[in-house]
Amino acid sequence: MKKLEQFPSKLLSRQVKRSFNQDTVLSDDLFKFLQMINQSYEHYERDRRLIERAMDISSSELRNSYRSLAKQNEELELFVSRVSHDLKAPIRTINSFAQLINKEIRKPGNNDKVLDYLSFITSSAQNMQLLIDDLLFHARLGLKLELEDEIDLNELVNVVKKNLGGLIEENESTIIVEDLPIINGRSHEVLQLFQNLIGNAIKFRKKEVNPFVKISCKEKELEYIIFIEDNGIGIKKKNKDFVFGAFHRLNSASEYEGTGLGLSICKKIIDNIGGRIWVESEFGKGAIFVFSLPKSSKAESNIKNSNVNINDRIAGQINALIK
Amino acid sequence: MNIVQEIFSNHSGWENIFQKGRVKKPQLVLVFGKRELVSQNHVYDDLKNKYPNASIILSSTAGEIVNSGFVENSIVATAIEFEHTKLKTCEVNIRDFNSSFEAATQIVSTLCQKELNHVFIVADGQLINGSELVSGLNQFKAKNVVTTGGLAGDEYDFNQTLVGLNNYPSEGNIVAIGFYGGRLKVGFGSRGGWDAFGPERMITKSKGNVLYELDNQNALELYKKYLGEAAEELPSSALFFPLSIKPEGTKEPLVRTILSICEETRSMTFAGSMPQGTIAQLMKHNSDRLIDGAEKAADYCLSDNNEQEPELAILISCVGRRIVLGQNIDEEIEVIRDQFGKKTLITGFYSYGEIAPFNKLSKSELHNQTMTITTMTEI
Repeated sequence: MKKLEQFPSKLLSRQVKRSFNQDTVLSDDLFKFLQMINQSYEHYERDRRLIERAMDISSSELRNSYRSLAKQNEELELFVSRVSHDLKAPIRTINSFAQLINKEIRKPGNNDKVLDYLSFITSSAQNMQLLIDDLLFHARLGLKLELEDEIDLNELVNVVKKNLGGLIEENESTIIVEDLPIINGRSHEVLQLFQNLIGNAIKFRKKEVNPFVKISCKEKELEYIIFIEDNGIGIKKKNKDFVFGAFHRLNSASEYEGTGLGLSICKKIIDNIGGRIWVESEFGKGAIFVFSLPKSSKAESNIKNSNVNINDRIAGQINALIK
Repeated sequence: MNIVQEIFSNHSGWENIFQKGRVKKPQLVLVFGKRELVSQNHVYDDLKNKYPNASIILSSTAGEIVNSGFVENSIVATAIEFEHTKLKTCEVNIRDFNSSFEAATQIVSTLCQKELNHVFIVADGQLINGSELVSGLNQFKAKNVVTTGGLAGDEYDFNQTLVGLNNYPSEGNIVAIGFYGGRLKVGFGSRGGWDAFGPERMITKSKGNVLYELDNQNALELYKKYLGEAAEELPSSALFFPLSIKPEGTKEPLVRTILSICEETRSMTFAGSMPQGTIAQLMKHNSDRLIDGAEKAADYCLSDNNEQEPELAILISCVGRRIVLGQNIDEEIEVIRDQFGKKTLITGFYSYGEIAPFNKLSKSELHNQTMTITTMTEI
C-alpha cells in the first residue's frame, strides 16, 4: 500500500488530487497502474514536443525559402532584362543582314556580298548559341541538390587543356600546372570553372605577346587557394568589383569574344562550393584570378581516426544509457 | 521436424528445456550465447560429442531468445532434425577477402545448387560490412531463394563478436546454411515499429556509413535541432532517434541506428551505409509501437506460410530494441508467441543487424532496430 503523496507524477498530479482524498491509500496494483498511465502520458508529451519542434523547423525553413525565392526572383528579373538585351543584338544583326541579302539577291551578277552577309548571320547565330549554352549552364547552377564527387584537380586541368586545345594552339600559349589537390565538388561545375578562367587567361591576351598561364595552389589549414595567373591585358582597378557580375563586359565584344556570363558562372560555382573568388591585377600587367576551395576533406581525413574509437564510443554511449 | 532445445548456464550446466519429437540425428544445431560463455571450448566440444553428425553453428549475442522468452548470460542450443530437407553449410572469413561483397560472392557460388530453397546467415557483427554482405548475397539467382539471418552481438559492449561453424567460434566469420528441397516452407517477416516524423530530406554528403549533410545542411546540427532537450543527452539519446532511409528502387524505408557522433568532424556514423542521393527521415520510438512491430513481423510470416503454425521460428531482434524496451523486453517475444501458437519452437538472439527482405517481392536488406523472424515448417 502506498500513500497518495508517494505518487511521483508531476504531469498527472492534478488529476490524481481531483480523484482521491489527500489521505487516500493506494493499493500496489492501483499505484502500478497509475505509474503505467503516467509513463504513457509522458511518452505522448515527448512525442508532442518532438512533432511541434519539427513543425517549427519546417515553418522557419519555409519562411527562409520564401525570402530566398523572393530575392532570387528579383535577381532573375534583372537577369532577364540583361539577357534580352544581349539576345537582341545578334537578332538585330541577323535581321539587318537578312534584309540586305533580300535586296542583294534581286540584283544580277556575283553573290560575293550575299556570302559576306551570310557569314555575319552565321556568326551572330553562333554567338546566340554560345549565349544560350551559357544561360542554360547558369540556370542549372541554381539546382542545389546535386551530389558531390571527389575530384583530382590535376586530372581535371588535363581535361580542360584538351577541351581548349584549339584555343591554346591558335594562340601559341604556354600553360604551366603545378601540383594541385584533390577536392570535393560537382565535377561538371568545377570543370567549367577552370575552363572559363583558363580560357579567359588566353583570350584576353596582349596582341604582341604569346599567352603564358600558370596554375598553382597554396594549402592552408581549412582551404586550398588556387591561382590562375596570366600575362594578358589585365584589369583596371575600378573594374575589379564588376568583373564577376553577369553581362559586365569590360572589353568590346567585337575585340574579345564572349557572352559576358563566364566570370558570373565562376562566381556562382565558387559560391555553391562555399569558397571565395577575387582578382589581383594591374592594367597592362596581366591578372591573377584567385579562389579558395574549402577543405571538406579535413572532416574526411579524420574519419579513420574516429573509426578507431567507434567501439569505445558506442560502449560508452550504451553504458551511459543503462546507468 | 524434430527439435530439442537446451540451455546452458555456468550455474546449472546444460538443461533440456523443450522437446518436440525424438531427435536422433539432428543435421543442424543453432547455438546462441553470451560471448564469454559461447567461446569456452567445452561448449562446442559438448555439443560435438552429443551431435557428432550435425552442423553446429555458434554465435555470440546481445541477449538470447528461448522458447519461453528472453534470457541473458546463457547459451541456448537448438538441435533440429529435418525429415525431408537437405542442408549444406559453409563458412568464410572476411580476412581472406577484399570486401564483404566478395566474401558473400564466395558463399553464393558454394551454396548455389539445384533445389536451393533458403539461405540463413549468421555473421560477425563488428568486422563485416553488413550492407555489402547483403548486396553480395542478393546474387542468388534462383527464384524464391531468400536470404535471412543476422549479425552476431556482444551484449552492449560492441567489442568483439564471434561466429563459428563446426569449430570454436572466432572473429570475422560468416556462416551460411543452405536449405534444399521443396518440402520446407520458409516464412519471414521483418518490422520495426519506429515512427518517422518531420520532413523527408536528401542525403547530400556522406561517405560509407558516415553522414555529413542532409539537404546541404550539416546533418548533426540539424539532428540536434530536432532533438531539442534530448540533444543534451547525446550521444546516448541517439539510440532513441534513428534515421530511416529509402534507398533508390526500394519503397519501404530501412532504419539506420546512429552508432556515434563526432563533434570534431560534425558527422554521424551509422550501423549501415547511408548512400548519397537517398531520402532520409528522423524517427522516434514508442515501446507499444515497437511491440506492435514485432507482432506485424509475425503476422507477415504467417501470411507467407498460409497462416499455418510454423514448427520453428528463429527471432533476430536488434540490440537497440532491447535497450529501448528495457524491462518490457519479454513482451515483444510474447506477442510473437501469441501469433504463432504453442506448437512453434522459438529460438533466436539480440543482434547487431538483421537480414531479410521487407516483403516477398523485394531483395534482402540489412536492417537495424527490427524484429526479424524466419519460420520453418516441413510439409
